[in-house]
Amino acid sequence: MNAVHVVDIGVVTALGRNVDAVWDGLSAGRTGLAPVRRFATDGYISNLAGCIPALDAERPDSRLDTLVQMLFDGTRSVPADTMLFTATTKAGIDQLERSVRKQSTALDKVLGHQVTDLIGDRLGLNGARRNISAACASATIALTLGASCIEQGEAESVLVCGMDLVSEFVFSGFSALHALSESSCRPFDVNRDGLLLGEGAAFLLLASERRCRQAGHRSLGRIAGWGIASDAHHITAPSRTGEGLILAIRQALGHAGLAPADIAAVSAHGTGSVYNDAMELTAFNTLFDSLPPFHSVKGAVGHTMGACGAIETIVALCSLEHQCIPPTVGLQTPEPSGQARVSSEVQAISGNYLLTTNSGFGGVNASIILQRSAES
Amino acid sequence: MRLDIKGIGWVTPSGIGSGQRDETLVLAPGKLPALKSRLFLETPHPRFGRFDLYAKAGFGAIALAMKSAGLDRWTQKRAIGLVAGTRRGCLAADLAYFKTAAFHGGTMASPNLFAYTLSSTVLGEASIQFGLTGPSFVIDDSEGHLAGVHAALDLMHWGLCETAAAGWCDVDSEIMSGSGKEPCGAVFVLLERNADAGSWQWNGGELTFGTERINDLAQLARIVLKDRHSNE
Repeated sequence: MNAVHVVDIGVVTALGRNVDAVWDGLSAGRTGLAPVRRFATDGYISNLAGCIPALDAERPDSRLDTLVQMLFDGTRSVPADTMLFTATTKAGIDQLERSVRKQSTALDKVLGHQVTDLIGDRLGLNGARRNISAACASATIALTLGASCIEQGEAESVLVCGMDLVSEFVFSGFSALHALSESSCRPFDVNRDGLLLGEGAAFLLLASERRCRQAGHRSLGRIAGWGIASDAHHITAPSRTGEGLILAIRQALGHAGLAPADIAAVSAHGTGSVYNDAMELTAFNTLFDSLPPFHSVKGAVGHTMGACGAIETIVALCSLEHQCIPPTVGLQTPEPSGQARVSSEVQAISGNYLLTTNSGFGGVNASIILQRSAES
Repeated sequence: MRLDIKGIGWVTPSGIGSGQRDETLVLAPGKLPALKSRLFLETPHPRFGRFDLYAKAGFGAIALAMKSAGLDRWTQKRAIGLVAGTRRGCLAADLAYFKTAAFHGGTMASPNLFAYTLSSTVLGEASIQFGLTGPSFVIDDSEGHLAGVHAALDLMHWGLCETAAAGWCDVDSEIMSGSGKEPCGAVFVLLERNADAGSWQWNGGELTFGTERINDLAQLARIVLKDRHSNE
């Protein structure tokens, strides 16, 4: 089995356009959630989302073009033989919005493979290209597939990119489902009342040990374990027992050869919705004799849907490097079952392994265990 | 990796089927037959009427493949994976949903339609119906209609599951060019890893039956049906 290293990362969210800006914003407890300017929100139950201001202006193409451009601005070159996995739930859905409103007929970024080709062509990649869609676990699953390819010796280099936009399409849908908070996103708070959407994109370049040596890559951390499992319970609500998430985490621990006590911290999905957060707390309390410190980034950047797994994996790598996890923005009164291990302050951590999890519509769950870089 | 293909199900313009002797599978453009849950299940599905056509076709083909493999009844949830390849996914549902949301300030947005604007929702419905807890995702399939099967074979090869329902699902969308000219429908097979299996083999990029390399879904289905009937 080949070790899977992360050798390059990039991220764009409402908190900033690079890893340092996003990490600094998260660590300072800032939020990028603000009133939406790109469409009218009068008819919806919330007016807040984590939009990237530079994407607000109307444009003839999809906002996804600009987002991808921002993500890869200044990135060093990616090896041409790199295999590409993209992850998105709705790709360039703003094009479909304009088509319905008869403002445009362009539909060249609406389908998943069009987004994969946009990135693959931009970077000049000639390896295999795949787009994965699995609701809010899309990027996490893409990462597990990419890591598997390297572990099994089927690729030396894999690029995983997750991305999704704040669109009226998705905003109106979550509003209609009454899944949006009217005021703020408060993950793991006793008074949480819903999620808020965000947009963003992130990439992780994965490489085998051999490629790291050959190319002189510095490892930013290792993907040590992963798991994917379904609840088989309900189409929009998570299982109250957390059975699917528990299964996915147990798979990841088994894959990494670790015990729950080896986990220094958890980056939770933490949407701020009543049932998701309760399900996660149930799963964590089932798995861990003593809960490790945990946090959610969604009060700071919003729920970035298909991108969140990639964004949160990058935050997890930063957490391991700095040996602390960011505050859970929006948290005021923590759920008692969180055992005071979730906080609105930065929490110090001590250890080499961090668990990150995501769950989504359809009852899909995915988890990844990251190992701190030996070079940290 | 050696494997068995234990079941097959399809929904195409020429009809639905699960590998019986008198059934033929034709992948072609056209209009799908009227789909009701009773065609696929013994008891009506409570949400089937809300499904978009993509979900109806995909769910139906998965249900038929599960039945064909004798796995449609269960008491304990099973770690069976679910992978679908698609090109257009739920684009038609996207369009139908946004027509309810685009006007009147979004106040008429339909939550029922929105629930089916993820191409993976159909897999969630199938996982609930059949108690499947394995990995589940949709992969883009722009040619050959085999991306879903290949991705599921990878999952099995990598040890992420031992059994998977995998296939392809696509329906027409009025706003996409090429609509009406490409095959539509759904075809799923039930794959099971088996070190003692005979002819099916996956070598991490190529699926073979004996010495024959499988290049597309129609060829795969043809061989599965021939193999099934020769073993009866």
